[in-house]
Amino acid sequence: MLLIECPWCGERDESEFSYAGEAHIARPLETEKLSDEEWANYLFLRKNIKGLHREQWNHAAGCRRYFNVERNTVSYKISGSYKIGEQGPVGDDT
Amino acid sequence: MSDLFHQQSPIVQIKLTEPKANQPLIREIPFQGFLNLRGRPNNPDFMTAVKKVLGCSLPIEANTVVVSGDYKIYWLGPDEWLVITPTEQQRKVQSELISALGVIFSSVVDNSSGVTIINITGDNAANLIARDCPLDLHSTVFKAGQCAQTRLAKSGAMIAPLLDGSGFELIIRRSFADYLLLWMQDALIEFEA
Amino acid sequence: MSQSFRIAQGGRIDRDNQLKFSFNGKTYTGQAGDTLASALLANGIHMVGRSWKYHRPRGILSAGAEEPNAIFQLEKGEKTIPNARATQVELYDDLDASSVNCWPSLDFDLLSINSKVSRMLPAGFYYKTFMWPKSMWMKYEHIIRKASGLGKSPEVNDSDRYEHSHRHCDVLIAGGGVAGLTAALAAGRAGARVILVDEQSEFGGMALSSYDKIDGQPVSDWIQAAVAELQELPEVMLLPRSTAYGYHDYNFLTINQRLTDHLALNNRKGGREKLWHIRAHQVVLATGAMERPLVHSNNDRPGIMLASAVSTYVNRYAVKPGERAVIFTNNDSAYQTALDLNAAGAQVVAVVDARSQSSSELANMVRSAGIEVMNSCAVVDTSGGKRLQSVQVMSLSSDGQSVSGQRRTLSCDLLAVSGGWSPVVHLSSQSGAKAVWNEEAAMFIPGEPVQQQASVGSANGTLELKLSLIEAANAGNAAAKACGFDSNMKAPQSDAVISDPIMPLWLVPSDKEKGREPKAFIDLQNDVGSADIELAAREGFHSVEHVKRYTAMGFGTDQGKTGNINGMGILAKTLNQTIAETGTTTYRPNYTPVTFGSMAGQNLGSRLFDPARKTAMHGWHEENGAEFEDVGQWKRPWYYPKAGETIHDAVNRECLATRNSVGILDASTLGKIEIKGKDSAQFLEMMYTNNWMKLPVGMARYGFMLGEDGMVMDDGVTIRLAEDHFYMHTTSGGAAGVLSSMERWLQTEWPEMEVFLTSVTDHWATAAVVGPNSRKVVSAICEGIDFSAEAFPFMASRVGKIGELECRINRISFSGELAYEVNLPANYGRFMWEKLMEAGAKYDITPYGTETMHVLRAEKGYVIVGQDTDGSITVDDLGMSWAVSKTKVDFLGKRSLTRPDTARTDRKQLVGLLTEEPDSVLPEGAQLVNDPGAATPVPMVGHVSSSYYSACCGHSIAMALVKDGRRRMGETVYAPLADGRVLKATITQPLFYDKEGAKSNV
Ligand SMILES: [Zn+2]
Repeated sequence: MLLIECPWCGERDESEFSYAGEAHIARPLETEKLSDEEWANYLFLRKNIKGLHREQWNHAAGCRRYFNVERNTVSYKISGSYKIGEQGPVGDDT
Repeated sequence: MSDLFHQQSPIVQIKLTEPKANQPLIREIPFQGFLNLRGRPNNPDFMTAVKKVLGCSLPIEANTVVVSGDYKIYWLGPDEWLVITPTEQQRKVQSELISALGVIFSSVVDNSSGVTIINITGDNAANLIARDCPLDLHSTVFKAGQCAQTRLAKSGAMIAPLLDGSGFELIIRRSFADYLLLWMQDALIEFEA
Repeated sequence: MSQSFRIAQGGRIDRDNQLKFSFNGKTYTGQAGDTLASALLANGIHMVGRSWKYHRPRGILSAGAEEPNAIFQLEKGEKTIPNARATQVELYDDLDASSVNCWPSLDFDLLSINSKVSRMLPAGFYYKTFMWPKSMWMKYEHIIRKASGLGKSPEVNDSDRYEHSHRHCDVLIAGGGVAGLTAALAAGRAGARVILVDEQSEFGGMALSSYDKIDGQPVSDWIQAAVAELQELPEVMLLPRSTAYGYHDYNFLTINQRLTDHLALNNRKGGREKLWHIRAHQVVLATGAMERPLVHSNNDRPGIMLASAVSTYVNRYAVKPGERAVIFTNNDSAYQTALDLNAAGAQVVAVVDARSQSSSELANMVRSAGIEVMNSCAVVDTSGGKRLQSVQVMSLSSDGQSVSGQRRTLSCDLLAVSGGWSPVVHLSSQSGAKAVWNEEAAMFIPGEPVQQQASVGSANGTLELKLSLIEAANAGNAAAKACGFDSNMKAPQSDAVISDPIMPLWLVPSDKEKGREPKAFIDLQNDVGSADIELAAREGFHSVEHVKRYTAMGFGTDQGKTGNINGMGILAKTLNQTIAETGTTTYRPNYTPVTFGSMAGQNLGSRLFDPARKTAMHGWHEENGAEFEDVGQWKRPWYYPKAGETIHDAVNRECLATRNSVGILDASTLGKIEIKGKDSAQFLEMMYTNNWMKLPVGMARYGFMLGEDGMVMDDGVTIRLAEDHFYMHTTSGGAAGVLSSMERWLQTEWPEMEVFLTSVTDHWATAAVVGPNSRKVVSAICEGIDFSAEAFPFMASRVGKIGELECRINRISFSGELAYEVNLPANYGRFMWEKLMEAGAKYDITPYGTETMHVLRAEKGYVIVGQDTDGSITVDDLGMSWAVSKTKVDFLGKRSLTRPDTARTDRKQLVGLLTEEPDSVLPEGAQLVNDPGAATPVPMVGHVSSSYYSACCGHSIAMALVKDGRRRMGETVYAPLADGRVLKATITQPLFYDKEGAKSNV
């Protein structure tokens, strides 16, 4: 059971949060100009990283804010949380 | 207002009993005014307009409560607050906020029927909540003046320690209130002996 | 026979409190303070069951959680407990226990024939034999299950209550032996929030079985004082009878506390167990160590026990497990057992020591007591049936690889064995630390911690008391300091003991020809022998994990606590490599089995398994006989049967009454979201497929929300309350998902947009008043609104008053009828409902539920997202492309609509179906085919999504998703049903009633 730091509420139990997938996937601005392949890349393809992964979480049972977390998908160690639009931490890959 | 008489609490189907042995006391504080207020705290116009109506600054620090006369204001999120008023003042405060805020980017929404307050007091108040709540309720880390939205059983709640230290105030959603009270009544059995 | 093996003095049992118990139907007595195992031994009972595969007699081996053999079924009926470890069951009055693994009885066991043909039952036997042919597996499994040593699952509901609780603390200490107590004192005195967890009824652990001294006092006095002090510290919580069984990420531990299992059945009150969910800043693991048996031929007879367990039975329980004992060891600790037995008046025939010399103080004390010490010797075989009768001893080479000389037979009824110690690294391993092999001490010790955690004492491989106390005090101080407390407790003092080193001995050599030697067991519960490991290695299984799965070693209820390390040692030897090279040992939760009751807690039954969300009118629905349907977590009235009515009677009546006069539906469960801010219309343009910029204030519009994949995600009606203010309805089940999805777009993608979302689902109670007479009913109770068709048209929203209360009336319809949705704050929901019922009485207003709602909407071909869609359906598939803007530059999911697969014109499309027999109703979900007689697999062309009997139409109606359906109007499809019938149906437009839409346009 992870202990996740909400950038506003501080450390809370994982059961207060919901997962929202890989972070930093910007929605393309002019979607009509994209090829099918480019659109499919945005829509379906995810990195599925082994190691440091930046992902979105929502403090669903708390302040309802979305934020980003950098988490090691092997050790589950979280290097840090940061607000949308902020620079994330640079975690060590261990 | 005569029509206030027609109100029914969300837990109208629940019968609360007197506590036995070590059971905490569970009581509803029904029919308060609840306003959901949104705005950007970095907009001084928003903060000033709200202060004029409520008589105090909105709590900016996460998970804190501010009391101002008859009003209590809970931090819900970085741009969201819950304003609790006595029932009869809710309409007045709502319209005063709306007119004071004018075109300022904000939202004032009545949610008075959407939630209710449950107070849990007594020796085992924290132990009852902790049966299925991941929050650290210990008095050294969760003190009067703080509040927290969290998971409670298979629903959620806004929880705040009561100012007099006697227990906790829980603000719960109407549609889950019946379930949560059934859950609490079952929880009481642990403290029966 | 009455406790004839009870020692006259000593022990921690209560001699004044005698208890009765029954074992396999016979009655015995024990004392308060006994475990079931110690009480059985006090009565001279060693043999307690038969082994899993060969049905060999097995006896009590240990005195703790590692017990592989003494696994019992306790009690019967609603109180029955399968697979209880007798070594951990506290004796209570009238306890009822029986062996689990013998059939039909312990003494006469039909399956012990397996023992005679054991050479035919090698490792992997069950896989190899019973898996073939596959069709027979079910039969074999039945017999294997009956024969195998598994407890019986209860046949009636468990009548007990199970508690749950969450806690946070600074320092959690697992294990309440002297190391755990010391760490708890260090952290607790400093003021830290401490939780000390211990498995046993009393704190003290192994020290309760010893006569050690701490700070100059007998260890039992020291323990008593420490516990008393801890009990007085306000921030310290002691959890006895509690097993820390799971160590999860971020110092989250799950602990199961047994609250009443030690009490007689009729004295039990309250919850049986309590599951603690504990989040700790720091964790100290003081879980101790377990002794390993030695693996020699016929090492599984009743009367062969771990040496430390023998000491525990003698010293703690005042029980003599035998009269004539032989000790077989490869290390010093078992010498203490020789002294303990000697002091208890048992005859110690000899200490057989694999090591060439033993000269420690302890060993010399044994010699001084007149006990023969046989160095460089090993027990190579044993004799006896249901009880050990003798052991055979030979000389052992210094490398431990061979035996020589004459077999010397020592007659005995007890063999106390010690193959060394294995620190209980289970929790450390669960926490993510990789256990490390220590060659010198011949044990796995905890690896480098990966969480905020430390291991101390024998759990850390520090077997010596003096050092263990120092380690524990340091860890307690450090943990408290890490939490901000000043802590500098000095370690309690104990005398240093110098021992001779251990000689690892994984497999005692046999003097018999290879392949002809009797079985030597590693895993007693799963009957895995040394030969099975060697076979697995020969067959190419070299990884420990594979060998475990192939041989089933460590897969019993004891999870191989006594056997796994010996097994690894033998595998390493077979593969001619070191244990470190062979691999590490990984433990996963749970440390010991946990009851389902504990896991479930009180989250049971119709009230607490899942929340039932209720509307403000719920009580009225109940009082008026509604049957309820679950919609998401909501309880919605399904239909309101009158006396003698079936569901069909009731729904037909409700439909006709609504279409002909007026009906009323509780629509409070629809999701409701207020949308406020100057960019709200722009935001809705992105969320919905249609246009919102030009919607006039006071008017409503229906919209579809898509996922970015272009598939329908939700639908609903949104009203414009002001230029910058909207009021959105979502589906009942989709409300939470729609809100968080919209928040996500606003917070993460378009933070510059000035839009605030606020959920008001719970605030409003909504009654839909539906039917030709609805205008008369609503206008009768609502003032301040002109209800004329011109002033209040379809899709308009108005604010009026009911009494002094402000209400909102929306003229929207999900039935094709003239209809109004009346909204008041939910505290007034029942008041509003009763007023409408009163006003509607003269029109015989009929409350209806979701079933009638479904029929009415299906008659009009209106879809329900989640029923007529399944996440793979586009708006065009539903035949509703009119709701998708052709001019908007962008909206969520738009780009996906031109992907080749989405743009195909022959996708599954929504159509109507009329059955050939007007009265037969197609089952929802039925698959449709073009030719039911075609060869299997018959190609499926679609499925029925909604299907009802329509009283208004006088025949059944259905909607279906059919491949290329819109081009197939008038064609026939077939629905072959599970009962053999084949229903024939004609494809039509999905519109069955009031096709011109005249009824809502009044
Ligand atoms: Zn938060």
